[in-house]
Amino acid sequence: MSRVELRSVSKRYPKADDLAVKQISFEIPDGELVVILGPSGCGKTTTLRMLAGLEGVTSGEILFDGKPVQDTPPAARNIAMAFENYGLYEQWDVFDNIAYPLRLRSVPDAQIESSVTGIASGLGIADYLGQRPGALSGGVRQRIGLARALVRDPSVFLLDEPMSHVDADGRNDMRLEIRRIHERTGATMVIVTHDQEDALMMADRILIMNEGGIEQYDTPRQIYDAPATAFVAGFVGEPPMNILSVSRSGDSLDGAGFAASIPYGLDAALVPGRQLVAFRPHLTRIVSGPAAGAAGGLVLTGQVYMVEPFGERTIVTVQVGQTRVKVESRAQESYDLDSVVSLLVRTEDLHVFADPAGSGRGERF
Amino acid sequence: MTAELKVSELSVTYGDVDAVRIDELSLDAGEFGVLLGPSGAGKTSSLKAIAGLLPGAAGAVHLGGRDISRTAPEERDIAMCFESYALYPHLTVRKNLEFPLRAPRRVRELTAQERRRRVDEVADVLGLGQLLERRPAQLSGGQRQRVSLGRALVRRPTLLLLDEPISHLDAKLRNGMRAELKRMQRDMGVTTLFATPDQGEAFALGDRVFVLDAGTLRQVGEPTELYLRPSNVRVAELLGAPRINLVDGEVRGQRVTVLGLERPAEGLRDGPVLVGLRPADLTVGGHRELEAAVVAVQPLGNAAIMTVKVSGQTLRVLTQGAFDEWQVGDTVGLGVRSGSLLLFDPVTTMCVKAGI
Repeated sequence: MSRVELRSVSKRYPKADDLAVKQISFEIPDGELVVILGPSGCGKTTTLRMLAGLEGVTSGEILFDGKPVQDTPPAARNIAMAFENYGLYEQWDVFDNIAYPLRLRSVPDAQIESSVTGIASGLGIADYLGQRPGALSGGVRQRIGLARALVRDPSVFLLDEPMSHVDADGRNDMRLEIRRIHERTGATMVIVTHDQEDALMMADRILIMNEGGIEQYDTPRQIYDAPATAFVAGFVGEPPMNILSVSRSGDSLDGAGFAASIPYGLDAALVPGRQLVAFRPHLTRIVSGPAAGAAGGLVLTGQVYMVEPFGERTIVTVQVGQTRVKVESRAQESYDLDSVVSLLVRTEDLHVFADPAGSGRGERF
Repeated sequence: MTAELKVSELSVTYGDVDAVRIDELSLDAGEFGVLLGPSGAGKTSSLKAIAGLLPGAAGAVHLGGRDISRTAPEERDIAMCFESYALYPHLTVRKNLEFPLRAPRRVRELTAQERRRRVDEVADVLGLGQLLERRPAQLSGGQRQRVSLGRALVRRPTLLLLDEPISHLDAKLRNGMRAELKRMQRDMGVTTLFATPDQGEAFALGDRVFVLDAGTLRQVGEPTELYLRPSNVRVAELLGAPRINLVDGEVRGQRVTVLGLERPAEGLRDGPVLVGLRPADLTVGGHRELEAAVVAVQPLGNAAIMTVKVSGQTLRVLTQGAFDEWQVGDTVGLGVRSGSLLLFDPVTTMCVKAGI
């Protein structure tokens, strides 16, 4: 059991100009599962490695249960770790690899036997216990590394991209298993991933990082329903939120190659000048033909760019001026390419973000 | 230039193992075909055989009516893009993209200005416009993948073969690129065969999907058709996310019983049957046909994957709305959408009835 706290922690790697982690502060209550989510290079793995003690902090404090640990070596922190590169002992079989941390702690053999077989069957690798890791696939090797971390009973689990090499089907079973182990042990868990589904599905709380700083630290529901920044809006959800860069002049919103009237009720939220308006694909209604008459919310007209018919849902990409907007529905729909459609979003489903950069954050995709 | 592809009696053997045995694989001119299968199914071998890169392969390949079975790979007018990027590290992105256009035959056909225009066009579609002067080492994995794809497209080949070209990208980039890739293919009109283990890509991209499993084609059709009427259990499992639920049922007197639920099943003989229930066809909170205990809820934002137990069987349910009131341990009522059941013969695994 441990409460974990970071106070104004920064990290600068030798010879680097920029800070990899910029003065971040957050607290993980005892027994919570926190997922650190962000794109590659955002500082999430560095943060985890500092928690583990594998990297020193440049400045700031790390506290476990209120006690500073930034100068404590990894072995004395009572943590269990699994990293993306598995670090398995190739000359041992899978059983011995998983049992290793227990043997180090002189756990009785009978208990080792039951712990190892229990965790191995939970992670779907019970069939491999007698084999050497060398001949096994990346996905299986990753599960062995994870099992070796989870077999222990530490105060804090630290997992770095624990499922990155596992295929889509196995991934979901592993998320369930990690969550189940978390609930059974009650241990504090910190998991790093770039996959927003991992975060939404497993976390009590999600910490979203970007360029070394924290964008938002909140429950999955808040992150999804009330993103604090345009970065979060554009990162979470599949597809993520549509983000339009618009400029207000009088009663009109002007974007790149399109214009719309001010949605009813949004007059006060929209300031003169440039800003971002965002909305979820599944909360966007699509209708064939140009918009007819006035509606309450945001009304846009565009042309169908592509239709992706999935079994369970359909995603339609619509070209609105120079921006592509995605619409998702749970029905099987079809539209002709380049046909004119109108899009409607209710005012209560719109999010507005300031756009100091003038171009919006994030990449084109 | 666009042309239809017809492959017949294709076989690839490694030693005495049959890696691939495809009776027929055809694409109309300009069609986007997806070869869907798990790793080891024989996807890469099939593509290489079509490209003429496997000396041990047998079979006939016709492109635009022309038999190219004995044509040298470089004369087939086929461009191929593999999972590994194989970019020239010392050349800029622009030079890498331009490279195929500088082959001796092409140089005669295109002026420097045309080459530049082609590269700009492809770079624009792939979002590489800002990166043209960089070298591969300065690019992310996703960006390198796009350059590699661009290099295949810039030649405007008669047939484009893509081997998991976007599998390396992270989910976000991959999902974002699907629509662009398909649109680009549509606009260029190039006949395309795309190999992937990802069912989402098969749905999103494929005009026609070829389900390859253990070297043979299990079913061919439009993705929605494969989803609604899979010919066997394997196809049902490979298409659809989350994976289809398979539960034992029983046919008796022209009716099927599964988990206590009963539906008409005319024309079927009495006996055991395997019933497929799609997670998206199970509804929570509406019409109540089954009693289910909630085991886990995994929110996805606009939906959730709920794991439940019904009569001792574990089922996956794709709910609408993610952060609703359900808690682990709750009992909920499940409805089964009418016309959604798939019945399979438990021995042959073939589908014996769909849409009841």
